[in-house]
Parts: sequence; structure tokens; C-alpha cells
Amino acid sequence: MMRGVLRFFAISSLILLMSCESEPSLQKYYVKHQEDDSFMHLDVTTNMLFGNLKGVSSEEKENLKAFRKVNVLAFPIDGENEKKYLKERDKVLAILNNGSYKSLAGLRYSKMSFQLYYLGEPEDIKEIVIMAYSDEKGFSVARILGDNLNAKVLYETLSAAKSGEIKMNLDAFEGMLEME
Amino acid sequence: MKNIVIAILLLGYSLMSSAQNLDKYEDMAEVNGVFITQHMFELLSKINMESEDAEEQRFVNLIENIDGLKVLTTVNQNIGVEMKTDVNAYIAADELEELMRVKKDGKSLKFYFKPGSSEEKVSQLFMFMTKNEKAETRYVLLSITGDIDLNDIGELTGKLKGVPGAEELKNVKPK
Repeated sequence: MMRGVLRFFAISSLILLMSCESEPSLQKYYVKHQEDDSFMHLDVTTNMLFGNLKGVSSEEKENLKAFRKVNVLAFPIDGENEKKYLKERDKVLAILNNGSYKSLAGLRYSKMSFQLYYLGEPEDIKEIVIMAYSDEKGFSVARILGDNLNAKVLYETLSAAKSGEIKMNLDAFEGMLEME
Repeated sequence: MKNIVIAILLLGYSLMSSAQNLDKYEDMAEVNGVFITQHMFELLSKINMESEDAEEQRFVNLIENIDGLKVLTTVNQNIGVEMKTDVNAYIAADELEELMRVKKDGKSLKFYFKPGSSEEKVSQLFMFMTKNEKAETRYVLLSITGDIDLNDIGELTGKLKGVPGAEELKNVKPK
């Protein structure tokens, strides 16, 4: 009897593990597509992103450490790849909506759509994802990877960035945004 | 006779489907919109958690109990008129109660609610606004769901300045 129960648990946990493994993750999607010629990709560590770290208070510096890395993967439409755009866009949206990511907010404006998601808990944000797409220009999915990141740190950093205390080095992103 | 039955069935069906169909506007290219989920409100409520300010605390309590906020807007007249019809069907089908009406400066706002866990609370706040702009009419739909204390709603709309109807909502009082 006991043995049967144990075996049952062993098998079911194995199945559970396997099903987790086979679920497509955004990480895998990145790795798979960053060498694809239709895509553009950019990986930035936060040291590079926040330009003038000198004028920043030690508390803010501590906050910035919570942002480990930023990955951007973009698919610009070039006039011939609309079909592939739709297919790849839907793949990314399917991953984001498979239940592991929490949808935070969305915005649709002048035919552009923005969707904001995160992975983790309010006290431990593992990943923030910004998905932007337009059927005329293409899509771009940015991941901000956190390290002990939480809601409070996120808010404080955004406020500091807004007030100009932390100058974000956004040059690298501008090229990505002008996807034409 | 048969035709009448079919007509009634069709009418019933179209009424039913349109009532469920406010979601369809989210995917329309001519419609702009914003939505905020309960996860976002959860994150927001964590930011001010330790605040000792009474007003901040009220704000935290309010947003902790919000499940979602949605705004849809269009200046496409055909879609707008259709939206108006669908909104009326939605209000009737979901038995939303009227909260108040405001008409001024070329704007017409109608607020509705669904009763919540107590007298003072509502489980949904719904607004439909039409606004005359230069050459066209703008149609705006707003829906907030959760367990919302109407006494606090003015507080919330004060903070969310961009939300349509926020100005009018400041004066809302539970009956």
C-alpha cells in the first residue's frame, strides 16, 4: 500500500517536472531567436544603463543593484515578413499569457499596443516584461531581470529616473525603437 | 408565425451577445484604451505600506480592494454609436443601477454601479461619457471592479488625474 502511494507520488512529480520543462519560457524564446536574422537583440547590464552613477545617493545605488540586466528582442516589419511577425508575436503573447506571468497593465494607443507583465511576487520581482507591438512596425519585448527587486525599490527608482537624478543611458534603446 | 419566432430568437440572441461583447472593443484598431489589473494595484499598495499618513493609508486600503480598471475610448462615430448601444444592453443585462448623471460643457456622463459587500460599497463602478469635440463626438467607457468604498472614490480619482470622469466623481456620495 505504502509503496503504491510512494510510486504514485514519484511518478506524478516526475510528470509535473517534465511538464514544467516542456513549457516554453521567454528565456528559451530569447535564446532561440537572438541569432535569427529577422530579429534584433540587445543585452545590457545595468551598469551600462545608468550613466552618471556618481551623483546618486548610496540608497539609490543600492536600489539600482536590484536591476540585474535588461534584454530586448525586437522584430521589425520590413514589408515582406508580416506573416512571420504575426506568428512570432502570437508566440510571445502566448508565453506571457500562459499563467506564470502576472499581467499588470496594458495600453493601446494609435494602433500601438503595450503590455506590462511581471514574474514573481510583490516582495520579490524576478522579471518585468514590456511587450510592445504594432501591425505596421513590428514588436519588441524587453525583459528587466531583478535581483532582490520589490515594488518599493521599483517605485523609488522610477521616481528618481523621472526626476533626473539617475540619468538613463537610453541611446542604445533609441535605435531599437526606430524600427522602420 | 414561424418567422416571428425566429425574429424573436434572433433579437434575443443579438441582445445577449451584445451585452457580453464590450470586450470586443479592446481589440479594435480605432479604439484606444488602458487597463490596469489587480496585480498592479497590489504592487501599488505595497509602495505606501509603511506610510503613517492617514490619507495615504486610506488610499492603500482602497486600491488593495480594486480588481481592475479599464478605459476604452474612440472618436470613430460608427464604433461609438455601436458602443453606446452595447453599453445600454450591458447595463440592462447586468442590472447595473444608476448612480448619477452629469451634463455640462458639451459632456454627458452617466455613472452606474453594482451593489457590493455593504451599503457603502460597490462591486463595480461603470461610466459612459460622450463628449463633443471640434468636429466629432468622443465616446468613453470606464469600468472599475472590486470592493470599492464610494466614500474613498474621490480620493482615488484625485490621484488618477488622467482618468476620464475623475472630476465629476469627486462629488459622488453614496445614497
